[in-house]
Amino acid sequence: MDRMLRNKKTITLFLLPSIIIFSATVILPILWSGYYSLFHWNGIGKMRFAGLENFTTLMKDSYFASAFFNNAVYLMINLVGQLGVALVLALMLSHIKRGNTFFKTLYFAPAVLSGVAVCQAFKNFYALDPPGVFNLILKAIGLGEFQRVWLGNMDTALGSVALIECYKNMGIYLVILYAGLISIPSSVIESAKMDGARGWVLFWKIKMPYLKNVFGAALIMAVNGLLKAFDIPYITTYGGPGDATELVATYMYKTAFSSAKYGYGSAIAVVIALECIVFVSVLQFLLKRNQD
Amino acid sequence: MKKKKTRTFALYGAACMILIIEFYPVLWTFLTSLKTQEEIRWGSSVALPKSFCLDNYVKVLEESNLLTYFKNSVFVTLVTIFLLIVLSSTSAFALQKLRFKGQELVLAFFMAGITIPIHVTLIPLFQIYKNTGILNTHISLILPQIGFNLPMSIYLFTAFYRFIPDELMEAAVIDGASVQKSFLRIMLPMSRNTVATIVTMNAVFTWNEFIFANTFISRNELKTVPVGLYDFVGEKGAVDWGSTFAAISLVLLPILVVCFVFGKQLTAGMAAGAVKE
Repeated sequence: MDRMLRNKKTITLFLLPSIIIFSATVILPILWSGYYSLFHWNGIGKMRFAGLENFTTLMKDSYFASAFFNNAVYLMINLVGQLGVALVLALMLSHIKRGNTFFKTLYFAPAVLSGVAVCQAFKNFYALDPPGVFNLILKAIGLGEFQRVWLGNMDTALGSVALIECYKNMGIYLVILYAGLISIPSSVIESAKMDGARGWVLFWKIKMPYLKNVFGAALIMAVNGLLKAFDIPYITTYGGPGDATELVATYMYKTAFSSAKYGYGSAIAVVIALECIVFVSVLQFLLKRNQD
Repeated sequence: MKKKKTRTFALYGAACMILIIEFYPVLWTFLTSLKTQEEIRWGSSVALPKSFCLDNYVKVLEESNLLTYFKNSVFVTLVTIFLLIVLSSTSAFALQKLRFKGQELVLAFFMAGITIPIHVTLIPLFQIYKNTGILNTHISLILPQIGFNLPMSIYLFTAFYRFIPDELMEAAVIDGASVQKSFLRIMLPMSRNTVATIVTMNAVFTWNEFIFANTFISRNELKTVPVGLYDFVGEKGAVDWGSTFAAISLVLLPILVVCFVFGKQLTAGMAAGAVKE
């Protein structure tokens, strides 16, 4: 038996195809990206070695700085709008006895909708001519003077695009946090209630400590996803107006595939990867320390 | 007692309100797709359609390549999922049940892929595909999607295999079955719930995948639904809302059906991914 399970041929047959595909499509391209980032290259002509020049240029690139800043704002809005809202809704659903699966599945639905579809609907909601639903609501509640072209305005575009991302992905975190909430043993909650814990105290002192690991995992997932956010700003505003909704990933994409600066684009890609690795490691470290 | 009743009522009221907000964009899309050109131009954007007008749908089906995009998406999704299941179930089996040095290391190697952003690989993949002639073929979409979804699928399979006792396989092997056969006849059928989770989750991911498709495919007849729709909307979005939203409705419909029918598997997969630690 042991000999059969140690058979080299069987192991190779079961494992090698995955290792090859994974290496070829994920690991190798990443290393390759690092290599490209050290060159000036337009994709067709000769590659000129640049050393770390692309990275020093990047540090002085004011357009990159604003993309980075936008990305930070985008991240913050979405952490509140996805994790915060998801937590509130998960708590609400955990109090509903009948039909919570029904509500959960339907709240989750926007996450599976095609991004292009959601973005196009919201584009019309944000419009002023003809007035979309947001502007109509403002008018109806007497705040008509706040009506505007939400996506065409430098001040409101980023927040408006971020809201679409919140709408689309909140459901994922709702499902995750809800799974965490219902896995708290009911005996724990019952005995806390016996001791007189209610509402806020019950949540903060009893439920939250149980939920910490799941919340931490959700936080890591959200940060990791938002640092590389791409689809929704790209589809909705293509980074505009001006640089108002330009994020790091959309800037990288345009630099490489529209401006044909493959070396510089790769340098931005490397920065995105580093950001993800650093943030995720720091969060993981903080969560681990918190557990002990 | 009365207080409790009011509370339940308020909870359900709030839950339904949120449901309406969550579904409004979908509902609005369907309603707008039924409006005539005149209604859209002159009527309020939130008004209900005056009649049940299917002209927009006829127009979309006649004038756009939507059906081709559907065919392409179905092909890419089916092949990706099939290969993903084959590869992840076999390698998870090897990592969990077969015995060799460095199993932990190989697992860690795959798990490293979970945090890696897709975008970092775009430029190199584009160049590699260009030089090998894979650019503008469906292989260019299938390969990286298998690669990027392998870690999570392998993780889900290993988590399941861990709880299957070794004795079960040993018994089969003693009965004369090979390791390969006992994998196919015992392990794989037992893991059908895991398979269902991975299939539904990745069906949705692959169906909606935008960035690879937008980068590697430029020939119209090869485009998948998200990019095809993006082009269609870019062309018609500002002028012809009726057909824009009819096209979007046609795209949303199958996804919504999948979501309602397989909601349990879908949400289970999402939760399993994060609750692991």
